[in-house]
Amino acid sequence: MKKILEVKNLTKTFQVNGGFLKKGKNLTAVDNVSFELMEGETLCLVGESGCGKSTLGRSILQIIKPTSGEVLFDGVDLCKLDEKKVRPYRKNLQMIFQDPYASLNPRMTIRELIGAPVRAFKLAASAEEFDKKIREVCSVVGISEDWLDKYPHEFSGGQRQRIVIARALILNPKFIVCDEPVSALDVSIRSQVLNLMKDLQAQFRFSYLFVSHDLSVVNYIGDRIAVMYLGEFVELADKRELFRNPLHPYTQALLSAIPVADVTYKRERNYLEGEVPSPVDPPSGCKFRTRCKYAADICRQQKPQFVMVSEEHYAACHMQHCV
Amino acid sequence: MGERVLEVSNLTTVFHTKKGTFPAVYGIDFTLDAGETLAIVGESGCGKSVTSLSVMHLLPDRIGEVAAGSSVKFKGTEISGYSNKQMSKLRGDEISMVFQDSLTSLNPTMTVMEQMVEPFMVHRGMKRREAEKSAVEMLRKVGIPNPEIRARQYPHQFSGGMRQRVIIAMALSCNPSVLICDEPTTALDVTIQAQILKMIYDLKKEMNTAVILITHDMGVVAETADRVLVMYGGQGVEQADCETLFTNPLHPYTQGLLASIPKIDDDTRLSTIEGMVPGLGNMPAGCHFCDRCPYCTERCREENPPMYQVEGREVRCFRYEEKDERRTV
Repeated sequence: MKKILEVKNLTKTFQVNGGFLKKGKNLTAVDNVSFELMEGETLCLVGESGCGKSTLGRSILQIIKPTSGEVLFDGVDLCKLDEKKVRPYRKNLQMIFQDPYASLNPRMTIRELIGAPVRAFKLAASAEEFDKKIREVCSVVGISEDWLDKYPHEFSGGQRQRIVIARALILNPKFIVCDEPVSALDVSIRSQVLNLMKDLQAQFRFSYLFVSHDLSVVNYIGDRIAVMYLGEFVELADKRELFRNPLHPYTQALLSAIPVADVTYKRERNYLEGEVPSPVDPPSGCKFRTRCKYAADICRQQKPQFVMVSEEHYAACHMQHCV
Repeated sequence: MGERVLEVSNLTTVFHTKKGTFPAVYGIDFTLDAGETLAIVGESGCGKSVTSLSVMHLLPDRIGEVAAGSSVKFKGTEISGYSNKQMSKLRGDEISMVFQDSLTSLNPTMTVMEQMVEPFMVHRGMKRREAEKSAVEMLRKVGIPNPEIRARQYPHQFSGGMRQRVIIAMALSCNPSVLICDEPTTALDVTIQAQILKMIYDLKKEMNTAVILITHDMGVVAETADRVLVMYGGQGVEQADCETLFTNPLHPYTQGLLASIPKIDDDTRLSTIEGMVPGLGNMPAGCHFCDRCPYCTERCREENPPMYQVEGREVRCFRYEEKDERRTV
């Protein structure tokens, strides 16, 4: 398998509470994250709100310029390029956002919306070619042609998300960041969209970075799962391995907290005390130690390394031997 | 189970829109006993929130009204005809409600204490000092650390999970018989959701409160409910106790819904329910689910099935007509 994307030590720091002449504090939203992504693979990012999963997705696409680190796509470091030079790469890098209501301009018809990327990159020489491209992508995504001259308000959430997917696919991208694409949808519609996203990936072999807070969705769509906490990766593993053998106490707590729609599913509940600390002022050493039941002195003094524990299973915890 | 606290029968609520008057909730029936948790589940627009708002008389008059023939009995007393004044006495005292959005449920210009003392002063006739003591006690009960100090703060100084705790404390402060929770944890993270659901469960047990839990999350239902009412297109389509519903769903909609939820330990292809939820204005004439149902027949398109009683549960589908226990032979 070909490696399509490599992220090395990516960090994004925001300035908060600053003002004129007033020095602000630093908020590290993404802290030294590294991973690789293969062709046709889906890597899922999970974590609670505010853990930096969306910021990571956006920093990779250079929608937010990262503070430091590298994003290697096809061997080129996107972070070093300015906006003009990144532009040709954007054909291969697409994004699907959570809110299908805010993602579509209400004043444009569906034809214009789906065709916008084609126009932006001047990929259609004639009106016929433009039409042909739109028709192709519509048949792939399951949009009927009589939708094309309507406006977004005429469609429901699930239909809109289909339109957003069609727009992301029209340029044949190699890599798509999906930021909670199904969180706003109802259960019966959600499964339609998830199946569509899986089918399209099998057909076109692109890679997803799938951001979600819902572990059961992640288990359905993902290949590997990365668990984030306060901007850092705390665990990264193949999904089967992660669900069967979670090593980090945070992953364990997260897994035990998800409500399971199955009355026969029995498990030991592992309630996590307290709430996520403020990312402006994170705890010293291991960031999770304030909520961790295994926390010891070493956790306060030293930051745990993100190391390979078993084959393709990474975790950052001092205590993993005893866990 | 305990005493019957709430009995809703044939509840119909109509909405007045520019395009005409449409029913949003059609003939809902359910009962609630003390100490019981009833979950009302369904997708957005199915009428689950409207049902609870109708029970509480919280629908704005110009937008919607409860139709004649609906009956809501609270501890045997008919309350559907109550005036606003009569309802105010009941609301927050005997029946209270928790909403999804904790930020808009609290007044941002008042400290938590000022809002917390209200139910004690209004319903219990306490003096301010006494009420403050009880408020702090309530906050401690829902697990807010340093309640004396925290109570002097404003809602924006609380996190989402903490705000939801404050609201639950407020709702439970007069020891109500019925607590209606409308998507209480939807805006929260899973770890916080688990804390809040556990807290509701513990308090419910302690105070023997009956809880109506409105949610779209089948996972939450499976873990908290005693009985479940599944709604679709403004109607109840199936009602059963929690375990039976999950192990042996009868209505095609419930079956489809359960099959389309991604599982935590299984990634085989999801089955889907084709099509979309019909809008308020273009509900099918027959069974509301007929356009999406794999078993749809001619009759389903023309005639709306009644609730059949099958094996101690209720289901609205012609496929179970023959098994109906009330059927006269």
